[in-house]
Amino acid sequence: MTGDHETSTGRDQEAAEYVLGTLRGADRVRFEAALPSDADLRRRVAVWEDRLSGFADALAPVTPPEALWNRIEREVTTPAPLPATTPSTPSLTARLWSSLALWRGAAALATAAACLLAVMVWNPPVPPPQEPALVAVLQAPEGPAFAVRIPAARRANVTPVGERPAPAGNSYELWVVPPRAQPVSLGVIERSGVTPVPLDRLPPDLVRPGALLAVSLEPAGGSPTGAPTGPVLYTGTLVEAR
Amino acid sequence: MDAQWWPSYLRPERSIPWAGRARRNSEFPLVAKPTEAAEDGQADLIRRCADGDSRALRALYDHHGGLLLALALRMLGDRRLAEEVVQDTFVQVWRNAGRFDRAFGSARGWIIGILRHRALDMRDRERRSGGPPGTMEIGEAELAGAIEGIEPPAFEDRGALRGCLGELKEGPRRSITLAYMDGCSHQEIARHLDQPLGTVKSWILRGLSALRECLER
Repeated sequence: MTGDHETSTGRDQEAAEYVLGTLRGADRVRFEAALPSDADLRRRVAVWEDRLSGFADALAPVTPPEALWNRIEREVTTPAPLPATTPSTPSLTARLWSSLALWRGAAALATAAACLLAVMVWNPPVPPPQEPALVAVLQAPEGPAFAVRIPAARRANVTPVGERPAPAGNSYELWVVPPRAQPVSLGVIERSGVTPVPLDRLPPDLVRPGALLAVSLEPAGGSPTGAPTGPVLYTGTLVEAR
Repeated sequence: MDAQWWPSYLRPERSIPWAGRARRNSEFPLVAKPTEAAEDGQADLIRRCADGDSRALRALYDHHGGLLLALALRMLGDRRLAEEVVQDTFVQVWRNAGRFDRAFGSARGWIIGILRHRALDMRDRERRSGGPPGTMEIGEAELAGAIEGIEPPAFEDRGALRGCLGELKEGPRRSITLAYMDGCSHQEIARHLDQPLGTVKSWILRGLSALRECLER
């Protein structure tokens, strides 16, 4: 972090708005992507969470039904697709989550982790591509949801990982989120199988190593406005697969 | 960090009340903790979750479940959705327990933060798909209750928020309350209060700044 107090003020405001819930859309995606590698920001968030949590005292508690606990217990005791996180041995999810910070130029180790997963998700391509492919794993804290592979400059392939069908009447839409501009749609992703996404009409420098990708939930057929309208559910960073 | 990275209304070149305040980026004035022993106990429960002890998750559920369900109901206005969000929250607490850092803040604040962002996502999703009737309507009575109805505080620091909210002008106070308690976006608050979007954004920034200053006194 820089020592600039102006910067510090802006960071604290953004942390406050994140906690309040008014930081939305692409701003929230970028903020959450920065959190894993930014302890100062995490601390600001935690301090604001405590400051504002007094609001909750205005509410009379509503006793949850026992069935709710049973559902929670079932979910946490059934073997999860990925192991629970522990401080000593961070889970694959946690380590890959860290790789989200790559777009800000971080951590070669995290790159290695993402590439490793890329290798796990796709068997080595045969024949090998002539130029290095770009890959990204789009995920939420609970695990990966989509694998994106860009074997050549003009096309991306998007594959669902695991069972995450969009709710009925909704579609998943893929976006590339430039650092200082509005997200650009790459199109709607199919519920199953590989979705080919043509990249011909995009500015050439948009899809590159370090670019942030995001998947939002949209009305069936995709966003009616050309910008994300639903919650952003999964994010990931493109890295070169060598 | 690049100033342009921020949303336009947060850019520091704008005239904002926090600019030029004391430089304290290296000292975080922590909010006073509710009885240290109780907080230690809660943080220990999260650590035990990270170690795979589901009894610790049950203890957290017994302690916070009622409050979380009440908050989710308030934000979503629908029992089924609220229970779904509470369920999801405890699953996230379980899976992410290793990331909780007790040096930064309380267990309660951390868990409420998870719940509120889950509820915001659910709220967005339901709004896109039409949502069940009666959901997400904001009643003036409820809104007033959120401020005046705050019960005698269990801990000194939490009561402080009520006092500090009372020091805010009506616009910032209502805007921040709508955002926190009802999960409203800037646009929804502007519509609800019949104010320009820019006014609401500035009320929220100013109100948060004043709250921070008041709570640090």
